[in-house]
Amino acid sequence: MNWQNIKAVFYKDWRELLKSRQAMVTLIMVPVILMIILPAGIIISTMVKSDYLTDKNAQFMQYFPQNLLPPGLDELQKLLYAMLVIFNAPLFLLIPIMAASIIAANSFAGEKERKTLEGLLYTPVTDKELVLGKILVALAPAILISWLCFLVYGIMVNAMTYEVFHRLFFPTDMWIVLVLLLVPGMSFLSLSIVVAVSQRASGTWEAQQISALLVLPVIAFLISQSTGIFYVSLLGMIIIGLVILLIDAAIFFWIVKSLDRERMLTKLV
Amino acid sequence: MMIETTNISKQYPRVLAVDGVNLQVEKGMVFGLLGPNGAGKTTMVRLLTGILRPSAGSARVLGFDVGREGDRIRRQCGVQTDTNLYERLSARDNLLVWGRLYDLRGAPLRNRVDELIEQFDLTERADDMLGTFSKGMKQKVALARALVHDPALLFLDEPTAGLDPESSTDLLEYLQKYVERADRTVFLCSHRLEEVERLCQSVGIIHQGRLLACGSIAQLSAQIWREVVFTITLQQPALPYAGLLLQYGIKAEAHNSALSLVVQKQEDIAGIIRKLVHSGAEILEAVEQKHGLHDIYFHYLPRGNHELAKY
Ligand SMILES: Nc1ncnc2c1ncn2[C@@H]1O[C@H](COP(=O)(O)OP(=O)(O)OP(=O)(O)O)[C@@H](O)[C@H]1O
Ligand SMILES: [Mg+2]
Repeated sequence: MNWQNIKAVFYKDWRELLKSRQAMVTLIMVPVILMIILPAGIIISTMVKSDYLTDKNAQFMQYFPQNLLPPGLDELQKLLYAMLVIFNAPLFLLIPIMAASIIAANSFAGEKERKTLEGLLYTPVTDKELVLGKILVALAPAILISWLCFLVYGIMVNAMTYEVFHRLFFPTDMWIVLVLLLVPGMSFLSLSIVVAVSQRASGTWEAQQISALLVLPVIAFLISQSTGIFYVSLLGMIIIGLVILLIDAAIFFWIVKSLDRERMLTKLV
Repeated sequence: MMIETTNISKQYPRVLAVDGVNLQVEKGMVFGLLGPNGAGKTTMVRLLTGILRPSAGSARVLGFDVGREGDRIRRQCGVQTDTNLYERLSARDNLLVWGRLYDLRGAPLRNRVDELIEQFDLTERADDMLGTFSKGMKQKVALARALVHDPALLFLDEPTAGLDPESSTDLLEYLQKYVERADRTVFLCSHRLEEVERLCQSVGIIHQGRLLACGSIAQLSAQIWREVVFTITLQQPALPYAGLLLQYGIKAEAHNSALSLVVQKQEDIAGIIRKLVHSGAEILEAVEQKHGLHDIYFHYLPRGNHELAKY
């Protein structure tokens, strides 16, 4: 295996991705909406119109499992904490999932759709190098975008609520686990679903849509988290993260093992 | 020997696309593989570049076994087929990206790409998105891409498909220059007889996966037509002279003022012309009827009768 070839494949896909307007718009807009506009809106409306919102939010907080909140917070702090730290966590996970699946669909199914894959098969790049380059081109930006979002979100949330909390309350341990284990884990999981689907799917859209199914468990997680039906402790989160990484490793070896140039070519249709 | 196949076959799920082909291509020559649609030409390229495994038989390309050492073969050959280029990238980017796949980097890569862009007359449009190019321009970029690492062996699968006469002439001229440089070999698949005739020192005719004939045009012609046919045009009606030649035991057919006759060897015609002149014939011209690739091709693949050609 030649690292130069993997880099060359990475470079090629990267150039192509940057030129794909549709993918780039989604890759930028979704994180901006989910992690900047939406939380900023929540913070501003909660803090400015706090008396109006307290009625409605009181209802929300009534059902919210109090044991998730650290002790010693006043009502406003509780509300902000619940929304920014707990409620937004699963939302944050949508970013690596979305980014990885869009890029992977572009580079795996897209290459097939645009009939460019055969040309690549005639080059000295081996099957493994080809797939590794393509995995990396989806994985690296997905993780980096998520981490960047985390950074911006962290700064923004702390800065905007400083007058309420008078301390830096973000990130919590749970978010650290999220960022270090679940972001890479879920990115890989979603890209590998796209890779698997790309073998059968006829185009980028199809591959992307099927992999969007991965969003469902995250939404379930979101609902259970916010209603307290099913609360995952920090330890639980670490275990889930590690299990996902184990599944990822298994899938990775399966992908690499089941690679076959001839099949890639003859299943082009 | 650059390419040497031994009874190589490829079975797709429903079609036997290549059926026990034996062929050799020597270093420094242009080999043309001719055949109708679906004959197995593209499949042959895929086998020889090791991206398809042979179902039976074997082949060595550049001294490497196609089944086991495909990566080594692909490092040294360039392939142009009808697959698409990256439409969202510029022509230059397409070439740069490709060069990196062949381990070219930095200044040598940039210079090589500039050189190709100039050679293919793409300078003005080099930085436009490839999606905006016409078919012929894309075809040029595809060929430039196959040449980016200056491969020792070049596979071309219908390089002039969709090109206008000017562009295909340009392209063929470029190819000719490329092979004139020492030890560059080309494996050209085509169904354009005139282009194969012009470029190739050796041709193979393939039909339904079987190689029906292989060799230089002169060899193939000599295999099919053992005799030499001449047409002699006279100033006067030819019929009396046909009778005259018959006295010498030479059969000739007369049509108006033309005599056509069959001799065993080219040299025999000199004596015949002398006899005709002696008996008062005024000869305007004597032409040997040469068999071109066209005749050879349709000898093996009679029109509308392709099934017969199998036997
Ligand atoms: N991936 C595939 N799966 C099944 N059959 C295939 C596949 N590719 C080609 N074939 C079949 O193999 C035969 C040879 O095809 P091939 O593409 O090699 O022909 P060709 O000589 O290149 O034709 P053309 O001049 O039209 O390009 C055809 O009958 C074709 O249908
Ligand atoms: Mg073909």
